[in-house]
Amino acid sequence: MTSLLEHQLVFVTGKGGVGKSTVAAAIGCLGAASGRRTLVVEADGKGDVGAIFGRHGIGFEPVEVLPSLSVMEMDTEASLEEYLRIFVKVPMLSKMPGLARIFDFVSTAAPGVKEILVVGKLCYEAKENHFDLIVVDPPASGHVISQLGVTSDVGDLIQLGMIRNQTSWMLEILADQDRSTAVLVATPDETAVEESVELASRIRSETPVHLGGAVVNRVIHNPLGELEQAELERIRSVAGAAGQLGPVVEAADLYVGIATRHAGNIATLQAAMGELPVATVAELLGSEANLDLVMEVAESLEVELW
Amino acid sequence: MVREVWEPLARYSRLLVVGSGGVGKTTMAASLGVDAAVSFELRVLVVTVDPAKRLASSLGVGPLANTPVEIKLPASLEPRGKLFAASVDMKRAWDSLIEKHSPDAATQSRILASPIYHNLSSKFIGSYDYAAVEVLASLTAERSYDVVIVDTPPSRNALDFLDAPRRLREFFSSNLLALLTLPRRTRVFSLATRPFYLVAEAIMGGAFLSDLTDFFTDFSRLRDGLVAQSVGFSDLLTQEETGFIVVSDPYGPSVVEAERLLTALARRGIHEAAWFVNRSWPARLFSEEAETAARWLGSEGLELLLDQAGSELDRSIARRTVAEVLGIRDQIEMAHSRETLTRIDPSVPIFEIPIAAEELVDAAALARLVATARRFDPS
Repeated sequence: MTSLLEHQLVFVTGKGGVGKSTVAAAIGCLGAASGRRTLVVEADGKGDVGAIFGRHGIGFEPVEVLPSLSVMEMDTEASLEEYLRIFVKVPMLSKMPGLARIFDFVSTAAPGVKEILVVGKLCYEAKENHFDLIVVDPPASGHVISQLGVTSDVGDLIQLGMIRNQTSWMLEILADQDRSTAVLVATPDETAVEESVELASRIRSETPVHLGGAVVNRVIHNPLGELEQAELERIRSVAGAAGQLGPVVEAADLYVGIATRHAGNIATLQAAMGELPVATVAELLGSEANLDLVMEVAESLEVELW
Repeated sequence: MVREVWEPLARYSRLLVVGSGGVGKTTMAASLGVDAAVSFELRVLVVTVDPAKRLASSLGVGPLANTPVEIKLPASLEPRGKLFAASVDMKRAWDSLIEKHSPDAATQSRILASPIYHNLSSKFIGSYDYAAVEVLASLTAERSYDVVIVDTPPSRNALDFLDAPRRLREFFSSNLLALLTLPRRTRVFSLATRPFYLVAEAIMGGAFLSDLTDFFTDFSRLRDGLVAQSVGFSDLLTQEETGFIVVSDPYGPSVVEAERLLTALARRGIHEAAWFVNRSWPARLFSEEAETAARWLGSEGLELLLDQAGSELDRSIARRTVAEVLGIRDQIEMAHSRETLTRIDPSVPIFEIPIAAEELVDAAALARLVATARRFDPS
């Protein structure tokens, strides 16, 4: 199996709030640290990834934020412009004043066209080899399925036209498991795991991209081994004698309880993933999504990443 | 016993639960629903607009549909009222919108059969939010429920939901729709619109383009009905009976986000009912008493354990365990934004919903959650 960082296109998928941007940025850092020219693409253009690296207002042009690591924000309008310039080869059209309106038309009304422009840009970058590794931080679950699945969907709707002709080479890149892969990001709560299992099966059945593995983020690990657990019981009895230890032991009990629940849910996810690897990232309670956090996540992922 | 949490909530007949992804909106909505049906002699409906089946799984029932089903609460909870649950099936909600507003049967069947409609209704950004408001409106209109609790869609921006009705109106009044339907209205292309079609045709192909214009010509015939209805939807969200609950977790970034959301809601004239700080660590852990206990465990307590230990190995285990136990409390204390919560003077009551070690997968666990919610006490 091709290791994660050896792929050209890595799609970091998962529902909102699980820390996709942080994981995508961390994978990007690992890619750059391994000497690959790496690009992190924020597909919903909200600026979260740029903000992690202290850069605001990064646009469609990649900006180098660390050595070998660039970030760009997807902008479908700019993508359309580039597309017209490269493929329609009519420079006049891309400079036409009504382009914004056409873009509105294309993206709002025509199903799949916006998605194609996003995926098309990603595949184009992969094809042009400007970067060794492109890590994509896509919008939340539902949309990523439409985006990745669009190469086959659009074929059904659009019988002719340029976009139809474009989908086959994209499909080739996306379906090649040595070039493209999807990473599932989840949190270790029961419902989140259930949803991830569902998302995993949708990636498998509705998109051409192969699922490579999962990252469970925000895991509370049990810091107490068996011996320490027994010792905690002893502390409890000592506490009984001294009184007042209640809140401290209570915190430990609660924490260990949550850790046990997380371990169980991770096992469920692992069972659903079968042979595929499941990496974990520890909960860093209350951390801001900043570079320190990303570096910490990258460090812990480095060991477990496939 | 009626919980403290209902004090500011009881005056609303519609409660919308909002907040950014991952903070536990669905769990909060489900838990409020269960507790309302347990505590009051009312008919309570919980609606989820989450495409994933989270509400169903937390209530321990199978997949939910647009039509509410009664959730049998365990007798041990001694429920005084009744609980119902429904989930928004977006496709069905849109189908019913089309059926309701089509001027004639032919238009209706053309729209429903169009592959473009299928694609739009399932993927068009914002259509989910709109469908959710539609379901809320029709369920409220029925008046068969005393309280309707809504789990809003998982979107990056919690306000998308509120803006859905306005965005639909904007779509109908935009030049875009005029352009889309132009070829059907007139064969004469002006110089201004001609390049538009040239490019659109080059990109999508002529056949698809004409399918699109056909579809939007039909769709625009629904304008009057949909626009009138969406004005009603906007009103529904700002009425006296509609209250909003903002959910966050207890950590810095999420607390700041919730504060921002509350400000945005206030600006829209929306009634804010409460702020739920979900997964809060018990206030006891931050007390003076806890501080003293931690100090004791790190000094005298540890001495005591070391004295009792039989071997060097036992002593090492004692030291390690004490360090870990103290570390856990330190970590929680540092992360938990009690200071920020204290500094903020929100216009709404803040409730701390305790973090649970157990999985919240049945009605009894959900009821316990609200039962143990406490008004945030900065002292």
